[in-house]
Amino acid sequence: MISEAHSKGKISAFVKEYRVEINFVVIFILGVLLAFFAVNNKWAGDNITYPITVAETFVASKVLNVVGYPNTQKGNKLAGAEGNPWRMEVRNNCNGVFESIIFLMAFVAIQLPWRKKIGWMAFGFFLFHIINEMRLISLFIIGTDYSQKTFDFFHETFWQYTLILFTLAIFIFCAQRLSKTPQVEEKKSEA
Amino acid sequence: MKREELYAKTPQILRNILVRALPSVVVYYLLWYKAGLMNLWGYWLGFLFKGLRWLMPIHYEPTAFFGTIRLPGGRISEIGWNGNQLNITIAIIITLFAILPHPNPKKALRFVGWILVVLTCWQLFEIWFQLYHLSISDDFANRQKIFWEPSVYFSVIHWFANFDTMILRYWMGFGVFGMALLLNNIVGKKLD
Repeated sequence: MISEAHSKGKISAFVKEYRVEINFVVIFILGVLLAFFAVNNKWAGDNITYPITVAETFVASKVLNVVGYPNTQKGNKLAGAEGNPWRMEVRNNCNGVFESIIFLMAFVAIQLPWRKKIGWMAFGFFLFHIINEMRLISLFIIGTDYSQKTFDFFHETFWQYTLILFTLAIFIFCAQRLSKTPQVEEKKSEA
Repeated sequence: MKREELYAKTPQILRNILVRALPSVVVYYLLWYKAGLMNLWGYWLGFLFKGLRWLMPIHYEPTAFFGTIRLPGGRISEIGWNGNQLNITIAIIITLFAILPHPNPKKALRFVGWILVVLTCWQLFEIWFQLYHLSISDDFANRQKIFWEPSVYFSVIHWFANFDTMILRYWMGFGVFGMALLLNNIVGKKLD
C-alpha cells in the first residue's frame, strides 16, 4: 500500500513538474493527427494539396529557366526542353505540405502568446518553403546532370534528412527568439 | 540535467546541429550505404522476426524485407518493403543524441541501450504493419487475381499506413528518442 501510494505520488510529481512538456506533446500529437485527417482525403487532395503542388512546380520551373535549365511545366510535372530528356513529377511527399503540418503544429503546441508566435510561425513557414523550392530545383538539376542512383540518394535520403534538420533548426531558433521577446519575459516575471 | 539548464543551452544546441550532428550523420550514412550497415541492421531485424512466430513470416534479403503470404488455394506469394526506408529514423536519433549534452558517459551508454530497444520495437512493428497493409490491399489482390472488396477495417489500416508513409517514416525518430528518454529517466532513477 505504501509503495503504491509512493509511486502514485511520484507520477503526480512527474506530471506536475513536466506539465508544460506533457501539454506540448499531447497538443502536438493530436494536432498532427487532426491535420493529417483533414489533408489526407480526395477533396483536400484536389482542392488544397494539388494547387499548392502546382504552385511550387510553377516557381521551380521559372527559377530553372532562369538558371539555365530550360523546361516546360504542366500541372505538377516538369519536363526538360531543348534536348534535355529529364522528366520530374512533384508528388504529395515532395510539396512540403506534410512537413509544414509538423512545423506549424509544433508552434500551435508551444505554450506562448499567439500574438507573438504567429509572426514567427509565418517567418518559419516562409523560410521552410524556400528550402523546399531549393530541393525541387536541385533535384531537377541532379536528375538532368547525374545518374538515376545519385538522384535517388538526393531524393530519398539527403533532402528528406536536410528538410527535417532545417525544420528542427528553424523551430528551435524561432521558439528561442520568441521566448526572448519582452512580452514573454514580462509574463514569465509576473508568474 | 535540469529543464532550465537544458533551455539555457539552446544556442549551444543549435551550434551542435552543425558541429556534431551533421558530421555524425555523414559518418552514419557512409556506414549505412558503403559499409553494409543497412544489410547488417536488416538481417538483425530479420533474425528477430523469426522469433515472432504469430506474425506473417518475414525475412530480410539485401535490400528489402519480404513477407510470405499464403493465398486461397494453397498458393504462396511474397511482398516486399524497401529496407532503406528505415534510415531516416536512425539519422534523426543520431542527430538528437549528438545535439544534446551528455555529461556522464556511463549514463549516456545506458541511454543508447534504451534507444536501441525502443528503435528495434518500433521498426519491427513498422515493417510488419506496412507488409500487412500491402497484403490486404486491393493492389495486391488485383495482382494475384483474388476477390477484394472495400471495408471500413481496410480504410482504417490504409489511413494509418498513409500516416506512417507521409509522416512517421520521417519523424518517428523524435518519438523513439522521446520514449527512450522517458524510459531512461524512469528506470534510470531507480538504478541510480
